[in-house]
Amino acid sequence: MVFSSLEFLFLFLPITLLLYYAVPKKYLKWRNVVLLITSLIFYGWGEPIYVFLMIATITVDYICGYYIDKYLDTNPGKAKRVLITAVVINLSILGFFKYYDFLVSNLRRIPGLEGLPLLNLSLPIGISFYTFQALSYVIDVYRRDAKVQKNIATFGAYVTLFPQLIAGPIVRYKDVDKMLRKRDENIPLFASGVRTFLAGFAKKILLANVAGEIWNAQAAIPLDQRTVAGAWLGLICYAFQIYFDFSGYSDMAIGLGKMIGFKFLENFNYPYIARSITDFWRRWHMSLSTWFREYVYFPLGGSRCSTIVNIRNLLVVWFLTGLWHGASWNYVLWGLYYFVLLVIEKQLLQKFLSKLPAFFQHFYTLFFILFGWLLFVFEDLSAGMKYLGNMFGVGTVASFTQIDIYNIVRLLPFIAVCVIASTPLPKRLFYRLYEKYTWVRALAYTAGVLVFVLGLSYLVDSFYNPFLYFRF
Amino acid sequence: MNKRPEKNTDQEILLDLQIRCAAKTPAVEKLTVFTFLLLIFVLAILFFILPDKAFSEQENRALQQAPKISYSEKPLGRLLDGSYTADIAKYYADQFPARDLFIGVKGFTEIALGKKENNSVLLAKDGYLITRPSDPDYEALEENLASVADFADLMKRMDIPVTLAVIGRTYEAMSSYLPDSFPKDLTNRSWDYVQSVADGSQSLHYVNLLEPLKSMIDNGQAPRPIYYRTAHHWTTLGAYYAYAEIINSFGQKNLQPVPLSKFTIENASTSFYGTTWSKAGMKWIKPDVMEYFRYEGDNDYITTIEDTGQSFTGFYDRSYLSKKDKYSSFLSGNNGRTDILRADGQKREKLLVMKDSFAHSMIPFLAMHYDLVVLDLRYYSESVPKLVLKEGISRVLIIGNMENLCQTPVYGNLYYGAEQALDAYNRSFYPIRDIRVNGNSIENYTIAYPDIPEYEKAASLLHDAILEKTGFDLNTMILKEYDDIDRAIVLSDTGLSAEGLVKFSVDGNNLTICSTAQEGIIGAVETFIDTYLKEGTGAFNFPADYVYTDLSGEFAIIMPE
Repeated sequence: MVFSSLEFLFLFLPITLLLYYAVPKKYLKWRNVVLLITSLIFYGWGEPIYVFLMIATITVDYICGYYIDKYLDTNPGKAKRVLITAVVINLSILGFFKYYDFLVSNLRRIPGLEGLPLLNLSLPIGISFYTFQALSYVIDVYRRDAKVQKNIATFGAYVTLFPQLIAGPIVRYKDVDKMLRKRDENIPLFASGVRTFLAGFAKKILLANVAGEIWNAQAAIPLDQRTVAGAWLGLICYAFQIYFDFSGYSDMAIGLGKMIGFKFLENFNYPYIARSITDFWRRWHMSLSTWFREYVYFPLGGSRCSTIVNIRNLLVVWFLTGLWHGASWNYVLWGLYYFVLLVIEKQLLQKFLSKLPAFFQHFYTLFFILFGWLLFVFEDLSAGMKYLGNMFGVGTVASFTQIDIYNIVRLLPFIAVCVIASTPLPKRLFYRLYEKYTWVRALAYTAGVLVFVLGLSYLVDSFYNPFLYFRF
Repeated sequence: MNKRPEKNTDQEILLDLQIRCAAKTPAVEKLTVFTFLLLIFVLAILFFILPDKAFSEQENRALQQAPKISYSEKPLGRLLDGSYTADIAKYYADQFPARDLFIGVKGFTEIALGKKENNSVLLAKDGYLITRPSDPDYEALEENLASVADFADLMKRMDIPVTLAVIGRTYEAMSSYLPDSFPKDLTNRSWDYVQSVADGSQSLHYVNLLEPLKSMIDNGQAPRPIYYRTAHHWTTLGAYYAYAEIINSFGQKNLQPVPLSKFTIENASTSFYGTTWSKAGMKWIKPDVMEYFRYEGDNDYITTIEDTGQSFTGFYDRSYLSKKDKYSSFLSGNNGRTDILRADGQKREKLLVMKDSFAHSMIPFLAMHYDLVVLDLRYYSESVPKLVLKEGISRVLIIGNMENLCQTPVYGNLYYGAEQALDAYNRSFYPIRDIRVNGNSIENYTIAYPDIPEYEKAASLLHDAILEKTGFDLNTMILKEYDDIDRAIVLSDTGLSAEGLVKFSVDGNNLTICSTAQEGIIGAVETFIDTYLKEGTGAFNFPADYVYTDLSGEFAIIMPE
């Protein structure tokens, strides 16, 4: 199930909130049980069979966490062995379900291995996210960053927690440990959650989906009929789509979390206003970067070592970051693209860049981010390169045609909204004025209702499907 | 900034700020929570209590009903593979409360944002809704036109003229109404292509229905709209102008379009909302007026839907006027084959119309001049050439809008059954349609004879006579002694009967003609020809019915019907 669906908003969410708040506040453990059960239903909605995989993961990590804690003082060696077992099991499950076919299809190119069978398993939804969360638990317990969770229902609730189950943010156990034991649901937090949720809802439905349509229309144009203007319009809209889609989803997750008393950390911090690639990655999908930093980069030695080792560490992290995004070479390439950019930036460009006017810094950053998305969106590298060529007039029919002018003119207001929504301006303005003026509060309330109705309209419309008989 | 506890990150500062803001105005916070919960709970409850709809008139399709877990043979299987939950999602989408209202809100918002279109429908001048032309599938267009041109060639060999009339979409015909920046030449290539195929064909008569209608629109010559504002079809007036173009294009002196003044306009509906309107979500657009052009005697026709056998008087099925899909009142919507004949049984020249729904409103005009067989090839899959022959069609009109020509290869099957039809057609000019031996047509028979000059001459005589009478060009071959032969007309020098008379016999699949003492083989063959192949000569007069049998039931002469 996804948040931006009618059955989530008008079936799952009301029932879940009803059940959750029907349990008196003092029985927090039972509220966690409600969360576990409803989250499992939420998860099982799309791919019911994988609920069992999820339960297996919870059980393994619960037991491992228990034994790590038990042996940590008395027998550190044994605790470490249990930790390694947990890590191996979790990564094996992830590897098998997500990367098996990718691995085999590459191995089959080696003579003699052509016969290896492909499994064509469907990917369990959110497996990349919840595996990382489960791993963070056992590691945090091992590092004594968090206390062991003795209640399996509470632990299960942590792994399956429906707001961030499918697309993050990737919550580290130590960040929610306390909230699982004690949290304060209250009206201001709930109201703030409603606003955050609606902001995310608007980003996803009103911006990302619309931008996605524009991109899809451009991408669907046959290779020999593209124009330069169309190619730029398409890719820019893709950049908006992926940002608003992902950050919208994170916002909805954070908002839903607040409605049940959780305070999750932000996952995006206006990445498109970054002044360097390094800055971009401090702002983009922060929970993933944090996870890799905490659990991969630092253990490898981070940057407190020789330059060569540091570069190796970065290479490992960016290779894995790329691979995490999908089982295909283009994602790996996308990760390595950022590795190269970051190393160059760190070793050579940094000092020079910071002296340039802000405009050039933004231009430089956005330019490379945009081309990064080409690697990300085209699984087929040669198609991506052709698209890149199109953007610079290679293999296009014209720089622009009248339909491009028509599209750009009519989409200008929408793109302007996207640009403004990519900056912290609206939020800053909102908080500055919200505290001061009553009318701003009234306006914000009205805007919230409006966004909900508008989002709902776009959602309903997306399933509206007039059957035009002259086509058949 | 006043005192604020130290926080580790920007994020925590932000989170704190949000909550601090929220705490400051408890009333608004309470109202926000209340409204949110109210909306999700009220809509959830409404969804459950409102009765489910079976059919959406707006979308012209059946809606998803509440999925039942029990109807499946493997309920657990459906639950586990996700198809049950997928049905719930569809059920929510299709039965959502106030769905039309939300569609309208979206349509309004898109236009308010300056997007000029919604769901691929452009908001044009004067409240015209114009569907953006989809990207043409040139392969489908080529296939369609190649097929139509081949079909016209075939019909020409049967002496039947074929007209291809192509109708413009609203996009093309009303291009002067489009938003200013919207390109008007997106589909020129399709039109040029149709023109080039027409120019290259010796047998296809092409009528471009876009140009004359477009020029009337551009010059403001028509008294009322030629295309609907809310539907993709032309109006009845548009259909009338197109009818006049088509009749004139036939170029027959005694055939003139009936002038406009002869018709009485009936407003069949003043609240017609077409499919484009449903798609557009722009609910403020006013409905169209749908007209019937009535004329004296327009009830003296019987319209028969051959698919169902159902028939009615006149051309209109008024039961549709109370539904949304009012355009279907013309000819009762899309059917595979519809025949329109005079009620008094008077036979007139027969016109075959292959069409899409645009033609429906034109049929009442054409019916004044022709008996009509109307086909929609999207729903009709039998052989058209055979139908042409069987129904005695004397003219063919292929009429459709450009959208259909370049989206689906609907005419791809037009040639299906052509060879048999052509054959049957040609055969109909011969006095004898077939000769059967032991049930086999002699079409592929061989004339076999012994290697004797006299027999060779007789074989050639027989070959020519069969060719002349049936059109079958049989092979001849020399028959060696003891050769085994099947499916042949054997000229034999053995097996004389005791009486020494001519003897024709059937053995197995072969027909044997024996030489006689008096006549020799040439005489025997001449007797055979005189007796069986020359109508009205020799010993037999052929009876009127089409089968004449002699030489037992194994030999038959088949006459044309």
